[in-house]
Amino acid sequence: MTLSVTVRRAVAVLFGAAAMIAARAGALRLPTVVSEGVPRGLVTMIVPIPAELANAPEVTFEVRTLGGVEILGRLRGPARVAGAPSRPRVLTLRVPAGADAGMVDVAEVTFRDREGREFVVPLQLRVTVVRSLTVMGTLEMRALRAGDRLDLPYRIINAGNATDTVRIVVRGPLAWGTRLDRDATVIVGPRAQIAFAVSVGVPQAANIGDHTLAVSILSLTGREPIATVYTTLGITGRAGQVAGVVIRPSIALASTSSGTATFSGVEIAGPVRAGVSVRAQLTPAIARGGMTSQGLAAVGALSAPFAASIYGENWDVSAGNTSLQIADLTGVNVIGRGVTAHVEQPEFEARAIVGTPSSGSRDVSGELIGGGYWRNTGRGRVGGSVSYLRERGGFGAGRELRAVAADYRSPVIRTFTLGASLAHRSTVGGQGLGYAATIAHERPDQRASLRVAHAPGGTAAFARAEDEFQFEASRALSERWWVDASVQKTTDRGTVFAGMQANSWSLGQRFALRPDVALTLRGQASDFTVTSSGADIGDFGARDRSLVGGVEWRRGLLGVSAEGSYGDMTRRTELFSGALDEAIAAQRGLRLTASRAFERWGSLDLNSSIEQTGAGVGVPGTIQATGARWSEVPLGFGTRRASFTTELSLQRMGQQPTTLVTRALLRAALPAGLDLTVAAERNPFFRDAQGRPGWIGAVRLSAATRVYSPGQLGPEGLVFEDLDRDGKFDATEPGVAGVIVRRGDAKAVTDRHGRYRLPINARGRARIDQGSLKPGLVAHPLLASDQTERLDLPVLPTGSVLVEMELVADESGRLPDMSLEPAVVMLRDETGFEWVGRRVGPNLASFDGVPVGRYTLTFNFARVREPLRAEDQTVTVRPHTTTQVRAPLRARVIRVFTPPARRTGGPAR
Amino acid sequence: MRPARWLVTLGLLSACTLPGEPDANAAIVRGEWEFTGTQAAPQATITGYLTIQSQNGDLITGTAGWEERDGFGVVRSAGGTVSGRVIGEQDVDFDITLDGVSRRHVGRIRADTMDGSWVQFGDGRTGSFRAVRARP
Repeated sequence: MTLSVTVRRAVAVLFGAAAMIAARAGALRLPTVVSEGVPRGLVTMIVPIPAELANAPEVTFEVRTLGGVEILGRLRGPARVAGAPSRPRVLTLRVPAGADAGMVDVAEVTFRDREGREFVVPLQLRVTVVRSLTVMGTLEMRALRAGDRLDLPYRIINAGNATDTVRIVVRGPLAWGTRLDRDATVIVGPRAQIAFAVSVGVPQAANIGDHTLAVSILSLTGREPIATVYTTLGITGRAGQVAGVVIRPSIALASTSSGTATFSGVEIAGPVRAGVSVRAQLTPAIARGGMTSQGLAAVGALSAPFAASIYGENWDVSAGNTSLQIADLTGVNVIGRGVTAHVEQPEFEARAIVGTPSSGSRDVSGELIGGGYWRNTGRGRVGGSVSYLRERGGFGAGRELRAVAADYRSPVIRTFTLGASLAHRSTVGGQGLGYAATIAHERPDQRASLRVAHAPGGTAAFARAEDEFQFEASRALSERWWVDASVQKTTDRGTVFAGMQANSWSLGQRFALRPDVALTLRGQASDFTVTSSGADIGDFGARDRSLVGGVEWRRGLLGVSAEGSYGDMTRRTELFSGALDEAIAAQRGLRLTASRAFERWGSLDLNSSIEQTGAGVGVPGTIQATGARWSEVPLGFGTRRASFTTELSLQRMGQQPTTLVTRALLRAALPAGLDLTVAAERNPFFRDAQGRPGWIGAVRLSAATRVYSPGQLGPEGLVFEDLDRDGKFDATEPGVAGVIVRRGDAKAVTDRHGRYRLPINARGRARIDQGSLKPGLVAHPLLASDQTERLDLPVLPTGSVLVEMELVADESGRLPDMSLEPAVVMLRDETGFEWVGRRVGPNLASFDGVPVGRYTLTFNFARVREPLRAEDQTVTVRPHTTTQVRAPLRARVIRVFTPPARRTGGPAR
Repeated sequence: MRPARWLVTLGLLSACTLPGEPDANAAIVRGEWEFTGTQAAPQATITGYLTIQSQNGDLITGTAGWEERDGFGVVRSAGGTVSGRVIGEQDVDFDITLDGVSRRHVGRIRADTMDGSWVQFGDGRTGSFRAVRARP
């Protein structure tokens, strides 16, 4: 084996070998003594007396410490006295608590004899990697309300001695919006900490109670969290709306093969004072219709006449196009232009309308005047209503009613509630007595209700029907077994037919085999008969009977159900000749549905069905349908909110070609308060002017601006340039104009003095919108981890730092040859915050927008091929300037050794 | 019986075919129709198309789509599949299924026009319709 091979093997096998070359005149350097230790640990190193001094009568030693390492015991003295045997020196040293992982030069031991010969033994310590990462942050947040938005501060603390790269994973309750204020992948230097915030949006539908948010850190390849902090979020009620009216103008464009249509409108909504809100919409009619109107509707650009409301928690007054249900016997489905009012308090309820009817396209005249008042007392609810409703023109014979009614509903008597109404109704067909009676029984394990009503004139006189009979009941036979039944019978006349009768009944049960599996079985039948009002068509009707059985399975966020049905359908039609045509056919079907909600990927719904019907009733033999919908899939565009919904449905009916409907919808929040909605749809049922189906594309852009009155604003705050970087406002520090400050959903822009005011009931921590700061300014880092709500918000001027790394020769003259790309360059400020440099070249790292101040330049060479050393440097960042720093990097000394000779020859490896 | 066996049994049941007798004397309504109509309460107008894509004896299938303008002036588009029967030469009886809800139309055929009334089971909506043949 040649020497060169030996050297190659030595270099390849042993990283960080030693030199045997004298570095100082008169001193000979010997192989390095290497030992291993953990921070804060004690390490014993045995330093042999050099063989060259084996025969020297007297030898002294001297220990020179490097890098602040503490050596316990004597640092100089005789190593051997004349006549005594040669024994190695034993040194004990304490590994510094702050020692980074890797090789550290800790000391040099110099041995001398009387003749002045000197031998230097370098001592190196291999500091073991200690990984200690944890995440800390908010443990509890109480008194939250549905609809709140809040920022929760957290920090990752690396108490270890090596740089780590971790992923931040946030798991919130289902359907809660959570967002990180920085990239999820974070590099944390040794003994450094990184602050971040999680923005949480509490949904309006959030249940009252405690919810848990889990913030974890994971290694880049690991699946199990390294550390997790659980934050309890206690919801105690609904969010009070932030004061101030939101004005939201929007424009939309829809494009189809029929052409394009545009839309513009303004929506106004929001509280004008505590407990009083307004809502209005100004959306001019769209000139074009058809497919383009479908496209506009898909992005929420609905054209509607003017309507406005002012409302509180228990009342509302509406003007413009409006509707009202006065009472069952004095007018329902009262729709028109005018003014309506509704008040509902614990003590009473009142409703009123004054207006004229409105119709789709034809002129309709008439009057809509009516109202009612009901008072709640200990003896029940007593009241009455009166109406004068006349709708002339439009389609059919029109509707008309003059009525007065008295109502009574008893308080709960044991488990029963009784109700009765009596009315005098005057309609086109004459006068009559109307009545309604209800009886309801309710207990935790059973419920039943019966309602009978008679309203002369029916739907032609603003009633739901002329005669109604409804019975519903359900009962728990055991904890796992429920049965229910219902019977309904309705008779009406309406404005189109001389009579309509609908009868139906249902009897079913639900049995829970296991907590997650249930079996259902239901028998049901319905019968519908229409009596014609003229000679154009005859009477017709239908009857359906079926037995339906199914199984439901639910586990966690996954639900699956299957349902099969067997029955028949009958169709009756009185022909033009007067003959009655009646056909009956068997019908059976199978339906499968599955739904899965994902914590991070929205929800997925699938359904498939097949239905077979016998011939003769006008239904194709086999109808198959399949659908899929993937909704509200969150998308990440930086810190902006966006979601995506897509769905498709396939249907095949008999021998007809399969129809495929596809839809996609994207919603995204853009900068400056803009919201973008984009929709695309292909629907064979919607056709252009040439009768062709095609794609419908639409886009809508809206911008929300909140307008406040002075009384709605809270105390004045200030955004200031924190010249002394202490985080506190001093009189000499100037304000910063044009900065957007947000708190929850509210925002304000600072005036020319840096002052701002946010709504008094805005919740959450005030934070600076970094995008609104001028170049050269940055929010003070302490705001990121602020636990307190502050009004005065400091910003810091920034500068830039360009670090040039340069490899230089070590004491032995060896110049390392390696790539510095894997080196991590960091600036650490006086409070421990770290900035990681952006690599802009093989040897260059740049720090842009770093707050002014003094920083320590640190490196991490864990991924560099060979250990390197860098001297500590302090870097001063000055406002709006780029500070260039040169960082010399040295290699550690290398020890070359010759491995023992192999017993047998062979090729060198 | 285990749930899987239920599904298999129901699947086999659904695979069976059912008998029927087509009417060979039915009027031919296959083709494109301009479709208009009204809704009584709440009032609305309907403007659209009716396409009978296939007619096998008395059985007709196709698609329909329209624009519905209600009393508030709000315009909505709707569309769905058509299935029904032509009974003899003068009577037509078909369903238009909109988002799973059937709307039954019964009318008279007079040359190239169908006139009649419709009712939507379930919510009791009613109205009239007219279909005028656009092209066969």
